[in-house]
Amino acid sequence: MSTFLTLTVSGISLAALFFMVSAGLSLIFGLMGILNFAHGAFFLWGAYIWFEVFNRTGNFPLALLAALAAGAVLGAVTERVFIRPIYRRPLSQILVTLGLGLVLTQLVIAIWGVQPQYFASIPGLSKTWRVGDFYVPSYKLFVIAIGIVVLAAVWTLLRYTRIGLIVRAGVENPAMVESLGINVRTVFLGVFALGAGLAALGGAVFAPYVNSTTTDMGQTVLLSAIIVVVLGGLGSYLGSAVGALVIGLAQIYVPYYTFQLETSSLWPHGWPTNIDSSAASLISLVLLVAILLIRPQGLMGLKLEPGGL
Amino acid sequence: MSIRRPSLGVGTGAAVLVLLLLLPPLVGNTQLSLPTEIFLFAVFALTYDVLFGFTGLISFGHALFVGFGGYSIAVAMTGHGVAFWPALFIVLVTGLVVSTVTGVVALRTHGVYFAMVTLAFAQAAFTLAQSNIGNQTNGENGLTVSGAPNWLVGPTSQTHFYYVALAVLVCSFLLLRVFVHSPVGRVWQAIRENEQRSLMLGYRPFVYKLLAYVISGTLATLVGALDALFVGAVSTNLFTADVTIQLLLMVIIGGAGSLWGAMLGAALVRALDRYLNDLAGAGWVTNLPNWLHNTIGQPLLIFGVIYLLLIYFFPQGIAGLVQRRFPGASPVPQPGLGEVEGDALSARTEEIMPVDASSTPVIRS
Repeated sequence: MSTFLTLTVSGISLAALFFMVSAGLSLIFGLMGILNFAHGAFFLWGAYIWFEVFNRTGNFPLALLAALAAGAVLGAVTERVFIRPIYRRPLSQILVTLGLGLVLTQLVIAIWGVQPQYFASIPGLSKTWRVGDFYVPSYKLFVIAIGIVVLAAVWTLLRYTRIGLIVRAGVENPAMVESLGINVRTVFLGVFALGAGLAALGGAVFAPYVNSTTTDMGQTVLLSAIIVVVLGGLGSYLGSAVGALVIGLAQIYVPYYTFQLETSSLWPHGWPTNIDSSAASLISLVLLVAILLIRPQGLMGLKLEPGGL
Repeated sequence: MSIRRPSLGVGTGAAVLVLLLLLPPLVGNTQLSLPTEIFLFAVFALTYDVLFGFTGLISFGHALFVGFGGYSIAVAMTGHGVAFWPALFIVLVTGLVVSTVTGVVALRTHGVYFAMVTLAFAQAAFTLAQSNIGNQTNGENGLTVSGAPNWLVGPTSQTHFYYVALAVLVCSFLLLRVFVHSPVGRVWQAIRENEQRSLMLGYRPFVYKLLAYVISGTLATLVGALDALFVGAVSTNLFTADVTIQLLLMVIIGGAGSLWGAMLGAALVRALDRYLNDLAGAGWVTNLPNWLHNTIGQPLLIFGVIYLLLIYFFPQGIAGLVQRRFPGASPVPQPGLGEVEGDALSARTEEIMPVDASSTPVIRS
């Protein structure tokens, strides 16, 4: 039972991370019809900006905010400079976001090098609580808390503000929103910045989770986020929360219960290696393919009517 | 289609071929590795062009075939001591099977979903190879390829491999050229332009797309095996999206929907890659600031920037430019990179989430 609880906390904290990345991915798709293959690179940049600031100042909250801000700026610039000229070219959008992801990743490699970056432990969050056989690293609880805060904040924004109303309407029918005299392009810019900022925050929160930053974490997370978004339903905000929970828990439970792996070899100290990671990512990949074939609209999306919260 | 006459293109092609046949005696054995590599990548680019340029399928998982071919021959020859020709046959059969199975699944989706599913397949292969399931792939260390006949990969057989690669390239080009100019190829291009319309005309897009996918995948698998023999080793890097992006770049540089463009793109990308790698080792470059040195040693960044510039400013690549210069040359189609007519915001919905054209239309109440 205590093993199950330990695994569950791990799974939920992983879900919180996935949610931060996939929420933006899903909103951007719902609103603009763009599946942003550069989203993993925003995540990566968030992790490295966080690392740089944390390494220099030792101030953890400041580093998180810096990553969030840097991600938002990066997202805004991306939308304005790269995406806006090709709104009418859907094929180009796929190709461009893929290329942007490559360039942004390679820029990280050019600046920080390919070798992993290590950093000091996070003040106040490095403790692991233990109740009997039930282990809870405090950082995981922190990650879950951040995930809940983000979920609630963005949900409030979408549900109770005028901006949120416009975004939701835009997901339903952008042409109609535009014809009502609302500058939907500005909303696009805002949502892209928000989504990129959240992905970057996810990267910043993720780095201490695995105790290092590596240049391939963006690509790995992108695939998980895509799976989460497809599972939850493209364009559905709460759907990505549900999808994140499913994938997060599956990636923890499945390797353990199919291969009886020690929990210590799982997430606390880095990416799971070898067989456990392949079991985890294979189960997600199988899920992705199965959902696209059986229920392409996802758990909470509506077919051909991307929308609904 | 207008009447074709022997054109400028055929003459140029023949001249280039003669030049390439005469190259080994002219430059000597040690200089042949770059052109050999270019020939192999040109075939990869051709197979990618059949999917992307002619049929309009954006696959983000073509690396699956490149890596799978390499790993099949390595596992067969090094791991199980299979002889060369039977090993090639195994590669052919497994290539057919893998491309058919993944094709049947992936082609049930469209557009960006197809890109996702193919990416997922390549990633799955990467994960399997990395995790050394069944103790066949040796994890992230990869495998060496041994047991190839001496006439092909021996220390003095660079010339032989060069001619083999050239022959494979020429055969692949001719084969694919026959395909894209055949009625089947016309349907591919019709699907690229408008899948709904080709369905209404009575063709089954799924079958034609699957054919393109299987031809492309099987050929890429075979050449992947050849590339593994040439390099002498395989690693999990072969399955990464970087490989697919490189093929995409080659096709975009040369001009999607143009076979010679894809080959030219492959030559330019590989040559530039080699040049930058050599440059990164040069004395004056190592003295440059660290990030600049890293950038030169890491050509993917430069490729990425070139790739982006091309998509914005020359979406038709070199083939498009040539066609503008010589209007008589065979026309280069625009594979959907142009603007969508009508309102962008509503057009996008159809483009990204097209109705499932492979199944019978159902009227919903």
